[in-house]
Amino acid sequence: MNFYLKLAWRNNLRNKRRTGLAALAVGLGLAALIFTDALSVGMLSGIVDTATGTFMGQAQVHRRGFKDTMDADLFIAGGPALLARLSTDPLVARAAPRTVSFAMIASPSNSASVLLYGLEPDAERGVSRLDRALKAGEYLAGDSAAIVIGAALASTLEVEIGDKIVLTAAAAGGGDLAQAMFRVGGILDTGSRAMDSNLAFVRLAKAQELLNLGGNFHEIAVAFHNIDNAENAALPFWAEYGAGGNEAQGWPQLVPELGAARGMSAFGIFITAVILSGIVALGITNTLFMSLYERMFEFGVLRAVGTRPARMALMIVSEAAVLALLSAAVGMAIGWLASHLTGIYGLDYTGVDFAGVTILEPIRPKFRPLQYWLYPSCLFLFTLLVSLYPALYAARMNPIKAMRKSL
Amino acid sequence: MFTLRMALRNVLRNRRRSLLTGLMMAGGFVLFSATIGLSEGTYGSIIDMFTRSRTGHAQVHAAGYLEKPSLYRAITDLGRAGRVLDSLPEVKAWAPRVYAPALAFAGSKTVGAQVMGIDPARERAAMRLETQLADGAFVADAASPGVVISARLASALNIKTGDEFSLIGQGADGSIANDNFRVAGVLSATESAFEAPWCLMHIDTARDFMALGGRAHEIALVFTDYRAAREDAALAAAALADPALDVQPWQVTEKEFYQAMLLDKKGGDITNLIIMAIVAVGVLNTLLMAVLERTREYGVLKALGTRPAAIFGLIMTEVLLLALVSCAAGALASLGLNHYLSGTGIPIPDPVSYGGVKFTRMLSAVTSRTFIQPAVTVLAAALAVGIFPALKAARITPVRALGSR
Amino acid sequence: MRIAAFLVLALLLPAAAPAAAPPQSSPEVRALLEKVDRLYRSARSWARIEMEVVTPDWRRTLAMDFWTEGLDKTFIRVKAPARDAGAATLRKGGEMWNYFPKIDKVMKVPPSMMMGSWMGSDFTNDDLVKESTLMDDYRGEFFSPEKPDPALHYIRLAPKAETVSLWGRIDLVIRKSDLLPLREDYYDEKGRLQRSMEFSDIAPLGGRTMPRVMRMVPLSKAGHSTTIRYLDAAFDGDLPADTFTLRNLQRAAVK
Repeated sequence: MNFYLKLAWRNNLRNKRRTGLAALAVGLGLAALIFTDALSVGMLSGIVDTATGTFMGQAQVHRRGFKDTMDADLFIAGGPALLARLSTDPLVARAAPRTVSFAMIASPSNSASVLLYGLEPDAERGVSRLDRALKAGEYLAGDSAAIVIGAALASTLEVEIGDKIVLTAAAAGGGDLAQAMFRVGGILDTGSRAMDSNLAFVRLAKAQELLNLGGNFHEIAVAFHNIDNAENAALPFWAEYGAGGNEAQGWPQLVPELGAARGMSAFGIFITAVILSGIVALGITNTLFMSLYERMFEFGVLRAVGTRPARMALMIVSEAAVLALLSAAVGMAIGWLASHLTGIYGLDYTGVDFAGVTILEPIRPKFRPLQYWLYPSCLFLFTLLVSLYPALYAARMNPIKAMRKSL
Repeated sequence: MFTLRMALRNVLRNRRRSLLTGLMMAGGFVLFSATIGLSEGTYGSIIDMFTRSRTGHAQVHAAGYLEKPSLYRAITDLGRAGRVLDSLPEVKAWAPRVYAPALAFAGSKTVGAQVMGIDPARERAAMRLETQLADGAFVADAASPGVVISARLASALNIKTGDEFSLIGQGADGSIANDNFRVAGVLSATESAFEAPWCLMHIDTARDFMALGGRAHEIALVFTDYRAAREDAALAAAALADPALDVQPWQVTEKEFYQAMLLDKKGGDITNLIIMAIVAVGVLNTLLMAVLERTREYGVLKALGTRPAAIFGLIMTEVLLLALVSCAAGALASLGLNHYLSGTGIPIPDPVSYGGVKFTRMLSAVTSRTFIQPAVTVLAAALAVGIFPALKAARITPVRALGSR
Repeated sequence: MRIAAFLVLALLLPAAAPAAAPPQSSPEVRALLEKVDRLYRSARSWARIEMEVVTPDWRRTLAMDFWTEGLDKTFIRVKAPARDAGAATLRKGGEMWNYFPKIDKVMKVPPSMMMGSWMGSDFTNDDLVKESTLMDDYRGEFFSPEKPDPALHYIRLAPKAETVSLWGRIDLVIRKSDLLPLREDYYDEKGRLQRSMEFSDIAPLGGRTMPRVMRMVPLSKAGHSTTIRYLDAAFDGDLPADTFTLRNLQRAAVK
């Protein structure tokens, strides 16, 4: 075996230009696959991260049926206790409690209907990054009677930082209307028109007071240590926190469009891989046959001196193997370089709305281990496979005819 | 012509070499073409399915409606608009709609709903609304109190086919619109483009409810070729010649969807670029070999007195000839492949639902781009790649060339 | 907006005695406000009114009958135009119900609709529900405008710290002779005039003298106005026992 490898290595080196170019072509194919995979994974994880990390959280707990009616009375059963359990769960990095309700926000000039969230900025850190979208003012830091709204809403209401607004909402335990005054403490510019015109945020305690909730809340947004847990439907996590009238859902259930987009993307990568393999196969076959024809005389001699057909085949296959290794090396290097360089600046899609999510940060190619072991191995095996045809050809060559032929 | 004949003979002289080279070029052509075809076909089918499930290829509104929808911002002369649209050959079908927010209540449950008045006969010609029905029957062709509601509304009010419920809203004349309706059918929860609490009814019933008279808020347009949506929308706008009306293609009315596609396409463009590079490098390799191996031959030619320019021309002609033939062969093969894939397609193992449309297969398409782009790539690569060895061959000294090998 | 809008109705509907919180208005002002409140105090009342709503898109005049008891019971029945005739609204405490004869159903107004306009006017459902008094929630003092009319009182009201109100100040113009209001101007905190109420047609009504026409103009919405005209009224009379019941909503007969 060693002998053949050495021979194959030397044979490849004999025509550096051809070997080099072939390795380049095949390597590029591998690099393409690696880069496309990294980009797609990066894009999707970027989107998932934006979708979950901006505000939604990777998973949420609600009372069953709450989301259909947004009834203030449907707060999480056993909320505070559940929150404590979640916070100490080893899978969970942060858990943030929130109240959610429809409310009317009114200014002297106008009024609008909003979705009101009561939250705690400290608890939100690690679960949502809404504070990054703050354009002016503060994110509910000091003043407890402050309200944070989007820029579009502020403009509809014709208010600025410090102006008075009145919130009216249906309180729990009877649906009586409750009103409270707030001052605009901060203005957000998330880039999503929907978020900027329909949401309003106040301190959790204030919202609980307004809605007569006591210590209860409607939603817990969860961030795991490992975001992949959100997609793992088999975890006991969901049943554990989804008991007693509550339900726990990961982002795939909360935003099914994302999961759909991911499925399509994965399939797209698969098709691209198939096509790239086709081109690569072509390249390999071409190179091998070219080298074959060029050395016909040499092969004829080898056969004439008694080399077994099997050994001839083995030699070709070994040459292909060495080519594959070289190509893999080249491909991985180029692929890594491309991913790394693109990763420095990222691809800028900021402002684009995708599947209901606004992309706020550039997309970066993302490294995945299988890019550097699965794809190269496939390439290697594939090359070996493809080399069988020329190998068989070489094995069955007639020595006399071979020696007489010249390119 | 002498050059051409010589080039042809050279190419045919060594069949195997030419075949290898040609195969690389044709193969690259076909695969590249398939990539483009699949991309165009899949996006195309997604766009077509998505726009035919509710929104249409383009929409006509009263000016400003899209940015700030309002009950009062309506298209007043629907008759005239309809006649103009009928006269345009690019418009395959059009359907008028009215919209109004309302409060729906049944029993003790009250929930906000969105009312949509449609003309079922026209919608049938333009859209695929009826296929989204999961239960019961669709809106009748004549005005009636039978309405179709979305799954979300049905579950929020806890009603099903055959039940009654009431709607309250604001009339366009200031009155309080209120009436009772019967659920004729319910739309699918997962395979429908109507995810919000929608309530679909006959347009005349809706107009009566909202005191809207003969006006409409929207005209959905379906063109003969969805790919020309932008141009056709502009055409329709020009034909309507009314500054109080906007005609916007789906790229504008469904901005989010469009941007999502663009995002995906950008990724695809990068892949295409890479494929082009690979094809080019493959072509380079084979051509280089084909040309450089014949150094001796060119040495003889030069020794016999052939001008360097002639040698250059000869090699380039050979390259071009091979490239053209390969492209032709590739084009033929890719035509067959793309055509097959545009009909049968590649089945997606895990069918995906987006915006109420279910995608079960990836389709290809035969478009001019599936021919032009690969052809340009292969030809450009071949020519670019042929120049260096051609120059080299043109400049060799006969003595050195003859001495090699 | 809500509180202020209801002040209009509060002035004509019976107002309860003020709460015990120590006022911060000067004694003179307090006396004036108390007189104004007391002027309209009545345990029960009935009124026939006409409400004209003008918007840039439509114009509508509703004729309705209005019954009240105390501060928390209201019953309204629409008599004209034909399309809306028979519609009725009942308010008891913090809850509100609507009835529409066409659908023949009583609907409890959900919280989300409370902020919606009542019958298309510039008043909200909430306006009909809120309870507040000038004396309790605002601190008043006299002020002098540029060209004061010696026959009028000018009072500037500012909301107390704990009052839930959108307004920075409300300027009241009251006739010295009979302490009847002529005008109310609502300013936001930045001093911009946001809405105006004008009272006119001071004449006898149900045994009292009061402005019979009120016109409300929201300045932030161009082309909008709501005008209420009192055609007839009776104060402290007897009302049928079942006036403020759900059953009454569905009755077709007019009381």
